[in-house]
Amino acid sequence: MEKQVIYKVAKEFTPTPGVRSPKEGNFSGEEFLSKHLYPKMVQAIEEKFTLVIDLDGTAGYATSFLEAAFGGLIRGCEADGLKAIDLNVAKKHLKLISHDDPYLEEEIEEYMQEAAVPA
Amino acid sequence: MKGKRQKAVLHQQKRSKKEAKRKLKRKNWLAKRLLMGLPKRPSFAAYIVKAPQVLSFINEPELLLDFFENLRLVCKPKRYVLLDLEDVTSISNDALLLLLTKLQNRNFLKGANILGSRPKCPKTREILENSGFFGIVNHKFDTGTNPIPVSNFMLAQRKHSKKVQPELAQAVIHEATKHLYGKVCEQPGAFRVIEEFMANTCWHANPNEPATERWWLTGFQGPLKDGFKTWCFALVDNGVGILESIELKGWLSAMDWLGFSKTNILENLLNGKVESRTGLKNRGKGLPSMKREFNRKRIFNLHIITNNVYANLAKNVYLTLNIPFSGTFVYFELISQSNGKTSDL
Repeated sequence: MEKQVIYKVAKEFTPTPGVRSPKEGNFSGEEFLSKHLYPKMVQAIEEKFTLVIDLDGTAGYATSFLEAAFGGLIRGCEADGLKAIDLNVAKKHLKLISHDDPYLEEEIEEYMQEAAVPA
Repeated sequence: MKGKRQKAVLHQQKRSKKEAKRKLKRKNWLAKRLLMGLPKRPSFAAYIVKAPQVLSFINEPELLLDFFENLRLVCKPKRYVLLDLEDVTSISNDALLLLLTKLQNRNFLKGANILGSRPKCPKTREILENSGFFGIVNHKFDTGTNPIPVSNFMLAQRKHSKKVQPELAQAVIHEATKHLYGKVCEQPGAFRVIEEFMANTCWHANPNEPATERWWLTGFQGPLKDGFKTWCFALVDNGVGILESIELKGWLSAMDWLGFSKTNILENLLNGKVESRTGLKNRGKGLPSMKREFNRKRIFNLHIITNNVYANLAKNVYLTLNIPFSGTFVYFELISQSNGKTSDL
């Protein structure tokens, strides 16, 4: 079994996630992607471990936050120097935990799938 | 030299205070005179706008919009306008929130001085007095950083900002859950709707420039429903409205051009069938997510009013309003019977 590294959003990022971009307010999905999720994901792929994102313990998540973070992970962002990550590779090294909100995993999966389809 | 300057500043401050006092005195004098039915001095161009008996944006949107339209039409620079509220028998918190936002909107008032009379109905008068309404209309007020004093009225709080404030969204939800469940807990559905509204105001209230319009939020205790406690949330912005900020394409654009009702457009927007004006597939998910939370029964009694469309999702009713509302209004409730909670703190 692959090694697992747990990242708790409420503890390591914020208990009150914001929306898409920093222009709109604090704790945005783009900020979460570039400073936390993306570097950790790259590390997980390089060092061959599973990154476990624990989504519990927050006030909730706006759709734009989830889309910017998890959709952005697959899409990449040239402006921020983030290269696109293949959906299957990301899925192999990413595990989500969400006991508080039963809909989150399904939504994130949807955003990642959508981002994998070229516009 | 320094002493002289200080003296001049002090003198100026003294004069400003005197001027403010004089203006307040004149406003109060005029309000009294108008209420007593005495003829106003010819030098005063004062206008009276009568409010309807029932002020509720959810139940009587057109009455309230008609009242605002009458007010808007008479507002001119330096003109005195009296809001005749004497016959108002009920005022809901959502209507009060909207009224207060209008009275602090410089573009709406165009420099008019607004006065307000007290309702005869003691309960309504008490609500208005506790809300700080008379502090705004009958006094010189500052429309700067904190226009509304954050005061409690009917267990309600009003907040405003131009940016998304997640901590604030969480705080108002905690206030609600304390009332509903007797403890602080999270409500991811309500949190999402509030954040989506704030973000919507940030981008859509003025599509050319983000974060130029202010959103307003209030949460208050609602009436018991079948023995269950309720908590209501009302959010409003006075921007251009959702339907004016989107770019329609295809058959929706044709329908709009032909003058068909815009109810279809809002319905399609909520169903996620209207593309974002950015043209990006990953955008435009905010409004559909509000409906989704309603369908998941994590929020209740969702109402959306924007431009000339009134939507009551609880009854699946979409109506065209004769008087448009420039801005966006969202109302929803949390009910103690449904525990859409996630984690207790």
